[in-house]
Amino acid sequence: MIQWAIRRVLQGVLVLGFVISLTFFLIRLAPGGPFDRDRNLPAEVQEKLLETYHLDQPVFQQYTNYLGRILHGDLGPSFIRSDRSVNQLIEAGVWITFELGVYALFYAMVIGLTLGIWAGTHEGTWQDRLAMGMSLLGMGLPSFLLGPLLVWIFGMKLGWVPVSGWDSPASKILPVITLGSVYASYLARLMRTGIVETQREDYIRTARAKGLSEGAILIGHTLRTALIPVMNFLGPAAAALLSGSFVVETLFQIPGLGRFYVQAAFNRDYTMILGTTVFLSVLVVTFNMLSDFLQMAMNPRIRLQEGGDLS
Amino acid sequence: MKRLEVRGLQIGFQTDQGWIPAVRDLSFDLGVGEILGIAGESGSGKSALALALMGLLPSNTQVRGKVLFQGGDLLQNNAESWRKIRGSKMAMIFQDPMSSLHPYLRIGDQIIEPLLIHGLANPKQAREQALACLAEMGISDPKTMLQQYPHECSGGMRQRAVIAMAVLAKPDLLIADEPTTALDVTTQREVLIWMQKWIRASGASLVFISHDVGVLSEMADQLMVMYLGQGVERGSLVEVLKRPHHPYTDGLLRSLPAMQDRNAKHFYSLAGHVPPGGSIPSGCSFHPRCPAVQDLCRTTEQMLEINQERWTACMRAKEGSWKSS
Repeated sequence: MIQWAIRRVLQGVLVLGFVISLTFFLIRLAPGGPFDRDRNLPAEVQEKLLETYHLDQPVFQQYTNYLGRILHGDLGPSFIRSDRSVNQLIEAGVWITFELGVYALFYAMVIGLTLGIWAGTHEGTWQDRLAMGMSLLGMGLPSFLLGPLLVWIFGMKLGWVPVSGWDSPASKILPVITLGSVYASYLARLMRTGIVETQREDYIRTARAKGLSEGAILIGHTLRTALIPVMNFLGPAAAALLSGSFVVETLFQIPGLGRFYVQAAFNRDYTMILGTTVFLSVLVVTFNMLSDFLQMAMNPRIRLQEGGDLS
Repeated sequence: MKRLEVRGLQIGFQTDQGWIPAVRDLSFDLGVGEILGIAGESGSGKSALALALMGLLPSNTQVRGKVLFQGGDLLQNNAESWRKIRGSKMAMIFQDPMSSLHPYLRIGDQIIEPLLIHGLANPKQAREQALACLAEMGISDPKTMLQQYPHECSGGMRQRAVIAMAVLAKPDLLIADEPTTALDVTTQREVLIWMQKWIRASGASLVFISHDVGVLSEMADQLMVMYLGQGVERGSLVEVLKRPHHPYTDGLLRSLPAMQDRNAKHFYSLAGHVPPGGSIPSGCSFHPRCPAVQDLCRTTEQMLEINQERWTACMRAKEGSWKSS
């Protein structure tokens, strides 16, 4: 068990190292650098800039320097916004992104699980078909389509909510729905499948033979098993939602991490791209790990298999 | 005194191939404190009968007739009245203890659940009762077992857990569907002896379903033999074993290894097979396999009742002559 946990953490570190290295070399392979767009700088200024940011050193040395820095949690200075460090820039955007992500996750769980339980307990009826039809629609509509559609209906036609921004509670409704709907749809499907499959198990018949009410069977017995695939999905989903969405943040003019990321990529702001990538990777890896640990806690059969693979 | 009266029970499954009868016009009684063994091959409808008695058949099933238990007809029960008597007044021991226990719940919590939901004990009392019950059944470390999950226990332990789960609430009617089939012979014997003792001590009645006449002959007071959804013979265990009235019962008994001639070269076995679901032969449904078949058997069926406790579906039993023919 401890052994497994250690192995799992080491695995995460390895993945992080790989992501950082790959990103580091890939952005340097991309044409153009941070200081040669739209600028006609004199040669000596250009040289001075490269020297300041150590871009004149061999690439491999830059790489080892960078690795050394991030081990201390320092993501370096931004190349473009030279007055701020990458850490500061991330901090400025991350809380708004987190806020959006938490709301979207909450929305996805409430809607998705409710719909999934409703469909699963009414298997084969019109309720089931209605819920699954809604979920199919939610999965099929990409956010760059759903967002404008919602803005058009509720922002422009009906005028109920602002069309963009992130200040009043009303302004947060549409971005949250736009971001969360796909996840709500996936969760609904997973929840439904889990319930439908579990209901066929002999031990659910046993629970019924004990005289439990249908509600008690659902909560005490069926969900125990049916929630496991949902939990598996929740880790990656939480990571994805918390790391925000470039599309949604750009669409609704939300000053979150996603917008910085897009800007940084356009400007070839190496440290900013890398910094954001490192930050998001840590987030994703951590949440996946957490979801694995959560699964262990829920499933005693996995708990026992020492070093067992969770896939 | 009667504990259970089944009258004209019909069970049918709706399938893609149409309507398949699982139990056909079955009537029998079960006395207080009595153990009724029900024998039959797979496809005889014995498991469908067990589930029907508990109201656990899937929704694509049709059940008709009467099942009288404690003054009411169980088949008229709504969900709420089923919920009240299941697990308290009547309980079921299932066939496969692995799949009928929840894999993610501790054995202890599963065993005491019926006591808790029916308000028969508080958690502490329930736990003590479970400990005592498991210890009585020969579990050496019941305390540990209550904390374990099903996959951590042996098959014999799991089976005892399933039995404890059913008997702790002291039900009046216990239904056991092949409760020991998954166990080795030694464990099987221990479990059977314990169950018999429990029935004798508690005054509950037991419907014990098995394909194994050998097991039934050790357990039951009464024996009913089922074939293709019908009861073909019923009587006290001794009566049926000594003087089977139906050729099918006779065949079943003769196929028991213990009943065979030691010097015989082959095991006796019944000729033919149970016809596939849905195709019920005309007349006496056993006639295609019957060694004593007559012309009349192919067209008509007849129930021969000596008294309420002793009957057979073979019209030739009266003559007592089919054995010699």
